[in-house]
Amino acid sequence: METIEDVLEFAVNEGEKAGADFVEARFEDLKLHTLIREKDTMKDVLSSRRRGIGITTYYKGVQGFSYTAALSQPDVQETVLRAVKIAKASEPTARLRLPFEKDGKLPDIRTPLEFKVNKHPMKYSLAYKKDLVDRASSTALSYDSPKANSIIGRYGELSGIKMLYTSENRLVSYKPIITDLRMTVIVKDPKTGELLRAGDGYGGAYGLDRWEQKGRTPEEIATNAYNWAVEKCDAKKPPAGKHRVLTDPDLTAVLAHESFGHLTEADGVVEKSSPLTGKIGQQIANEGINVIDRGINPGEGGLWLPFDDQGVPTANTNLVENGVLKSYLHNRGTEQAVPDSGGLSGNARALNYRFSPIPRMKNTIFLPGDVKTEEEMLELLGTGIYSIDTSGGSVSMSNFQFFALRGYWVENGEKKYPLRDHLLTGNILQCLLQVEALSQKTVLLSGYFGGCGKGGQNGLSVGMGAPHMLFSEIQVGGES
Amino acid sequence: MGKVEFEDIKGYLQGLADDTIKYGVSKYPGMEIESYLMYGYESEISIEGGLPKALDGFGGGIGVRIADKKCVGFASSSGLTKESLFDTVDDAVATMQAINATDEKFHGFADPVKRHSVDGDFYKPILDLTSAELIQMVNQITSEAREVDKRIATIMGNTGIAYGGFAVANNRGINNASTSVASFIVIQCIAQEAGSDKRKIGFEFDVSRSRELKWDGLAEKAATHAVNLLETKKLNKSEPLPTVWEPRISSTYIMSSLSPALNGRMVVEGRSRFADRIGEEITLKEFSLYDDGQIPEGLSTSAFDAEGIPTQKTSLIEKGVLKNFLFDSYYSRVFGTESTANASRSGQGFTSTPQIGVTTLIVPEGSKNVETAINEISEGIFMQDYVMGLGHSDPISGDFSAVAPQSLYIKDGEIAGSLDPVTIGGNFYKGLNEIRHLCTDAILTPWNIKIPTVVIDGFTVSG
Repeated sequence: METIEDVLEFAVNEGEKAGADFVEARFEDLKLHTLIREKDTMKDVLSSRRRGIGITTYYKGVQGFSYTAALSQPDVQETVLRAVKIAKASEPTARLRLPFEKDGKLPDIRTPLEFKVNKHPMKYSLAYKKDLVDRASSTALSYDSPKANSIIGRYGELSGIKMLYTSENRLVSYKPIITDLRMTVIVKDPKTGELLRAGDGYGGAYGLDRWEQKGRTPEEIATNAYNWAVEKCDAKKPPAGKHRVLTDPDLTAVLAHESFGHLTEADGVVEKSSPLTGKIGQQIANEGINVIDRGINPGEGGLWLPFDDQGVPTANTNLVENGVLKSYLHNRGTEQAVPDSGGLSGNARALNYRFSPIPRMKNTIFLPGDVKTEEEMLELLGTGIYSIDTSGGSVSMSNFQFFALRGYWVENGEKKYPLRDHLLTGNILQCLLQVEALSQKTVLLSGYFGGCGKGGQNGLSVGMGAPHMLFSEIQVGGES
Repeated sequence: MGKVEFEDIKGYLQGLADDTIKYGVSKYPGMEIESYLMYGYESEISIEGGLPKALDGFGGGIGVRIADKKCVGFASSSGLTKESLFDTVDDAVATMQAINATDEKFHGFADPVKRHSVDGDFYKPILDLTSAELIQMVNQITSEAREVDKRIATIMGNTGIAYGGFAVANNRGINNASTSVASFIVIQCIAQEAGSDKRKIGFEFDVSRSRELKWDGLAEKAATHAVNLLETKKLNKSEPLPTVWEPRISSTYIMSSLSPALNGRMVVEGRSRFADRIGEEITLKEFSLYDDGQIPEGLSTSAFDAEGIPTQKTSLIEKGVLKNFLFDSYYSRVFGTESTANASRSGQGFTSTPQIGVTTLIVPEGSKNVETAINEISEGIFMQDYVMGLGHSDPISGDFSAVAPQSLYIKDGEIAGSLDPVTIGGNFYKGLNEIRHLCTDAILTPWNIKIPTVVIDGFTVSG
């Protein structure tokens, strides 16, 4: 019986025989576990196997992509022939092409790379993971003034194998791993009857011992979520308008991703939809700002991504150095089309086997500054808004919006009262020129839940990181 | 798996669903079992900034729920080979046993319901559209956009078709199937003045399951719209103003507020402010809301929901009074009512357990046409195209804050130019009591909401 490697090699050969200039055949066999508990009951217990093949063919710089969930040789043959056919049919309409050459220097990794962690989740039973959710849930439900109106405890895990075979007759293979534990608490404001939510949790390339570390235990996560929800009972909306704003590392990390990272994705550059098109070498941010995008982080956490979905090793990409734009995030075609913009970065990523890889972020990180503590950052803020945590954000053209879940109104460096959910918005390129300070403390975020959306590929795991960041001015949405 | 003809999909999936149930019932006597199978084909072509990309594929898979008394588990797998179907049943049992969590409120999977229901409209020629024809369409629409104005800096065109079906069967006698087709075309243009960083978007689309796509003139409309927005001014104030929400925007308002708040799971689990308010007035009496799983042109219309129950029309709010919530079989039993046939499964369907979701929400029109409504506004904001941040707002408290990047200024009853981005803040639910007008221009948006332009007082606008 043929192995999956044989099937992928067969697909590449068939594609070339049918006239493709280059073929990438990508296989994944992933196991996903999701546990969701509501109050006293484990409501969703899911075990999913995601297995399939996606084939990208290139013809005169134009790609055709086909996928199949059926893995027999005839199914795969039919799939690759369809991919070649649609690439050829599209080719005459091209006004832009993204051809690339075979590259003999790219790696051939037949033994799958593995991420080394203590307490690898695949070695532990589902019951062990259920216990993490139960401990967090019981803690959240143990508080009673007020009692939680609703709680949601979640554990998610992705593991398995990914493989790619290309026209360079090479294979790369690795075993991704993501674990995630989250708690959301909703309390009813005893005074107004309003429902207020808050959450805490962590995800990324972690072993299960992550949730044994101080500050990360299920009990501590649940206590944070509960306390922050209760604090919102006394919280106010910020006054709408322009304010000095301090963002905490979680929120700054999302800003790094949403508001800046997307603009550096090179498909937007070659298609001229990104406002950073043609700005390599230009000062786009204050001098203190350095942004990188990398596939492998030191230690645990973040997203572990040794290769992208074109089999390119992930680079440590310097996007911004001392405020100057240095690189874009490339796939193999855009890298050839935009010379002197950082080189091959390993950013071709697909949501799953049903999608073709497009330029996406790896771990996008604002490097830290020199301010030592949160207190010192608050002093530098003086009077304004301290915005904490986020439910996400987006960017369109150069406009960004993101949503802070909590915060404080600060006067003369002191927290005066807590804030409700509020919106931060503005023009990202102006905003990066208004950064006054960065702290030394950074966080690295990733996870199984949520994820990044682009081009119909929504929910892709990415990593992001940042310290506290102080802005001289940001537009804040609220009430007058 | 290979290609299955459209006409054969139901029978093919129902046969496999039945095999799965038989396998589970005989191997695991005494347990309950439900299988959900999906099969589909999609083809999509885009041209972005002159770069064409083509995608197609056959997908499918199975999701199995198993229950042993009060213990429930789920497993899914892509692919539809006999081996993978039976493996998935075994995995569901193993998962259930590993977790071993009892749910006292679980009373079995859905019981069969006898009610007449049909699949949505079906326009057969959609099935015959070839990749080559789709490529020609997207090539033509992007070429047309390029001809409109030299300030159009980037053009994105996208078109595609999809067809497929699902079957759901369980040990209580359900074995039902539905099929559907869809086609769409989208054109998006970005306008930019040479030497300026200011960019504006115009986009138009058509989506259909029941007729040929209509895309004559869409390119010109999108491009002209974007160019016309290039000249903007600042609002320079922060105060409560009447806001006009065109259907594309008012549908996201409902999607971010009432859609979750009237979801039976949110109600039962303590995340809806309307939990104990059936029979009470929760909006102005001019406002009504229905969920209709049988509207023929609805993109999510099917004869059965994701548990195999015939879909129906459900009245949620009638003349301001809260009438019902949306339920699947589990939460309807907990709440003490009947399922409204709103079980849905996200993603490819088979990868998810049934969750409660809308089919098509309908907000009936009022009596004022949009022009007259605008004429009555002395100062206000016309929100169009898209608003950022509604989906990140908190549907539980209803507090929202959003950015309208391309709104228009209304002064003395007239549109008085395009604005720099403004923020809008307030509370979704409070806003439903401050609706000034529901207009007469309802359309079915791609977010499965049929809604007219809505004029609302009291939100803070700032910019």
